[in-house]
This record gives sequence, structure tokens and C-alpha cells, in this order.
Amino acid sequence: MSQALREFLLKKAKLESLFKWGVRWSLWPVHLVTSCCGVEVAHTSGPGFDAERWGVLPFHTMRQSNVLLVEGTITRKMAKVLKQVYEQMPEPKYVIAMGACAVRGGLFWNSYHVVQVDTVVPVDVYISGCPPTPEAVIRAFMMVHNKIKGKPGPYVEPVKVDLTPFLPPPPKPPAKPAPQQAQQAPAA
Amino acid sequence: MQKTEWPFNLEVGRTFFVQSEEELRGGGRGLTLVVGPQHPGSGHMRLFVVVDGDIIVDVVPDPGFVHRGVEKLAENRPYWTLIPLVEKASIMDSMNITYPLILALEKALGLEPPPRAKYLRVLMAELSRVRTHLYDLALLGVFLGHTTAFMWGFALMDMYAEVFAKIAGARTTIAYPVPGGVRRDVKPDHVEAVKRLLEVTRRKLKDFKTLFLDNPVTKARLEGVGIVDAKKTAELGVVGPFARASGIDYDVRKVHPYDAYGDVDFEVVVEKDGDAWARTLVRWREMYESMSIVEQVLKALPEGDVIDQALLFKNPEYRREGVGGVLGVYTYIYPEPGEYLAVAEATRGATLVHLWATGLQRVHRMRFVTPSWRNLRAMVEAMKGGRLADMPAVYMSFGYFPPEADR
Repeated sequence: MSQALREFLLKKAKLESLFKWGVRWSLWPVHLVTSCCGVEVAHTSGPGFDAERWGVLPFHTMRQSNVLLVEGTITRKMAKVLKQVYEQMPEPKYVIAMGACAVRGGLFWNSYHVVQVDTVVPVDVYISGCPPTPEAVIRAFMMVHNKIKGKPGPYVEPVKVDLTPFLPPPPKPPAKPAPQQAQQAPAA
Repeated sequence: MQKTEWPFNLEVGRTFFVQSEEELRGGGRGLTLVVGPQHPGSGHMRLFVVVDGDIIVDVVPDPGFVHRGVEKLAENRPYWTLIPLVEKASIMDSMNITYPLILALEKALGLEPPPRAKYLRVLMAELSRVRTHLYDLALLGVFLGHTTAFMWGFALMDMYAEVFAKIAGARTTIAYPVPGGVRRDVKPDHVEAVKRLLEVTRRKLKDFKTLFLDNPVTKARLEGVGIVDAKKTAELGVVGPFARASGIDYDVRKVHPYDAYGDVDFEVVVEKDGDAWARTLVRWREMYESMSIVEQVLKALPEGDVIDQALLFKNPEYRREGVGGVLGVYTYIYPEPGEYLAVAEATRGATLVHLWATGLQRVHRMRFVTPSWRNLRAMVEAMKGGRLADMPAVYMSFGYFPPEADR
């Protein structure tokens, strides 16, 4: 019944912009405080850069929040949990990947235990930085606001660049040992 | 095969879900709670807590959710890139946690930092120590429910972040030391900023004490909770201020003084009780000791270079000023083959780096032992026998930081 009421309010009474306003200004992130970036999110909720001015209150449980703020490195062991956390969130939900580790693996990109976040959950906003400053985190929330409103945010398409003319020449292979050394070794 | 104990007798792939929640164990009842990895704390860590009514009977920890393989990654990178890698274990403590790596690398490369660099390193180390203690106390506050303590602690930490940004260029991950010295010099207005910061910290810490430590609710929640006596502390291998809170008088800065710690005068703070309140008091008093060390260092800061002269002689083409400056000379220096061990006192305990270098620029093996990992067993033992509501208090009174423990 509440679905029917919701549809009525959205279509007939045209209250969609009111709903969007409500969702925008009370985005409570589940802060998945993995590691280093958690310190900067704690700074964001702290008095210096008070994120609660924009309605951003880091909340304990994911069942009552719209935004998943993935901070830091997601390991293989944690990826299963991340998927569970994402599925437990109610609609409408958004995901912010914070920090270099969440974007593409960061400093630990070739580790055996690190996964890229966008292979596990669909990401809406990426923040780069290691760790990103609290101003960048707040700017990411502004980008989520734009996304909720329907306006396109800045979008950067990764481009493949051919770097082979710029690379140094490959190292020369080591010289082969002379045959007389090979004969002396078994004798000695 | 012998049947392993619960919950490890579940098959691979099924350990995520608890199979039997209630069970009869020798007459008692045990209800297993999974304090899952996603919790609003300082990192991902799972605890399987078996409770009987309200009393915790058994705790099985499940660390490793933030294990990034720092030791394995260190085998394939040039040695000068290991500093940011090691620093990410505990970024608010960044100077202290990279200290043993730098000491070991300097032994391997045969470099000796000049006196000014030694004093600057001690300065940043003690500022990082104050910062980490503020972080730990703020998180202890928020674990107990005292969100104002969290806000005040982080307000002070923000000021430290700004001062770090002035001195070293970044708010948290400063990567300040390099083998042979420090990365940047300190200008006079940075020294003024540090002095003002210390004044403000002392003023605000008085209010923080009235708010948080003199609070009867905090005392009631922390006194007598999670007691680990001195014998058990030594058996379980606890390090750092958590061992000093049980009466063990051991501080690496006094036992093996490194850099300028032999020249400064400070006391090692020891408490006898071994409960969470003693651990909080030890960290509180250590903040004041660290601030007095910073003042002594600022008074006695010698003039001179901040990087070893020998680096310039190794490759005289490298210029001193400019982008990167003299730091590019590391591409021409190779460590001597051998094993090098260095220990330093990070904020949460003694940190150890054991380097095994062959003649290449990649180290062959780096073993990195962090204090949170060594305190894990003691934290788990301290939780047993207490009530369920004491679990977060014990967790944060041990200052357990999962990225540091899992590396």
C-alpha cells in the first residue's frame, strides 16, 4: 500500500523534487572505515570540517542509510562482506569510492589480497587522493547531490596512451660465459 | 583428521555464516555473537564472542580483513619506495611507524643522519605520538558513547594535521624521514607554529580532562575492566603503553635510545593496576611527556644540514636544490648484503623491521612486526570474564588498530 501511495505522490502530486530534496540533504553514509582513509573521514565529521552541515552523519548500521562510503583498501576477505553490506542497504543507494586504494587499488595495486571496488559494487563517485582531504570528501557528497538531482557531474573517461616511444631501451641481456670457465667448474 | 574447535570446524566457504548459535557446553549455555567486520570503529576486525547470559565466556578473533600484503609487496619495490608503504600501516603515527625501517635502511646503506636531522625526526616522532594518543582517546570516547570526547579529540588532531601540512607537506601521510636524514627542513615560522600548537594543546587538554577523564561515567566504565596482571602481560607479549599499564617498565626509547633520545630527558610512565583505566592514564600522561620532549628539542635544535653529506659524494652530479633535490641519488646507491634489525617505540608499542638485503635495490625480505598485532591476544584474553558491554571498552583501551595489526 505504501508503494501505491508513493507512486501517487510522485506522479499525480508531482512531489518528486521534494523527495529528492529530502534524500539529498540527509545522506547518512555507512562509513566502511577500512584503514587510512578512515582518519580523514573522522576529520570530516569532526569539528574542523563539520560534515553534518550537509546532513552527512556517519551511521552504524547500513539498513538505515543511503550511501556507502568505501574508504580505503578492500581485500578479498572483505569483498564478500562489502557485497553483503551493499545488498543490505535500502533503495535509493549510492556508493562513493574514497581514496586511491578504493579507486584502482592505490599503493597496493599488485598485492595478492586487494580487489578493485568497482568489481564488487557499482560506484557512483570516485575520490582520488591518499588520503583525500576532507574538502574532497565533501565535494564528493556534492557530486552525489548533483547525481540525485539528475544533473551530470564531471565525468572523466580513462584513455589508453601508448607510452612505448617514451620508455627507456630494454636492458641488454648478460653476456654468455666463455666456454673454458664451464670446463673448469666441473673439474674444481 | 582431528575435529577442530568451533567455529573453525566449518568448511571452507561456509565460515561466514554461524551454523549453530546456541549450544550446551558442559552444562552452560553459549550464545555466539558475531561482532562483524563492518563496525563503526577504527577498522575491520571480526570477533566471535561466546556469551553466557551477559558474561563473555570465549572470544575468538578473526583478523586479516585489512591484510594488504605489505611484506610481500616490499620484495618487489626499490627500497626508497618502502617508506610510504610501511607508513600506511598507521598513518596518524607515521613518523614512528617508519622509524624502524629508516634505521634499518641506514644501517644497510651506511648512512648517518646529521644532528639536525636527528632532532627533527624526534620532533616529528613526538608530535605523531601526541596525535595518535589523541586519536586513541577520542575513539575510546566514541566507543563508550561519549561523542563529545570524539569531537574534541579530533578538533585537536585537526590542528596537528595543519602543522604537519606546514612542516612536511601533507596532513596525515607525511613520509618525512629518508635514509640519511629528513625530507625537508623546518623554517622559523614552522617552529613558531609548533610552539603555539603546544600551548593550545595544553590549554585544551585541561578541559578534555574535566570532560572525559574526571567523568564518573567514564571511570565506572573503565575501572576494573579488562584486567591483565603483570605476569600474564609478560607471558602474552604485550608491548607499549599497555604493558606499562600493568607494571612492566619497558620503553625502547630508554633501553636502546636511537637518534636524539639519548639527549632528551623524559620519564617512562608506569601504572600498576592493569585495567582499562590504567591504560588510559598511561596514554594521557605520555602525551604530556611527549610535549615536554618537543619543547626540549625545539630549544636544542642544532644548525646544519638535514641530509647526510655522504649522499652527495656518492654521486656529485645530483644538485641539492630543485625538484627532488638530492633525493634522486638513491637510484645510484645499493645496500650492502646482510641482515639488519631495527626496533623503535611507536605509539602503541615496540615496532620491529628486519631487512634481509642482497646487493640489489630491492630488499630480499622485509619482516615488519607491529605492536597492535602483538597486543591482539592480550586484548582477547582481557575480554573474557567481563560483561558484553565491556567489550568495546576493552577493545579500544588496548588501542587495537586493525590496519596496523594486519599490515
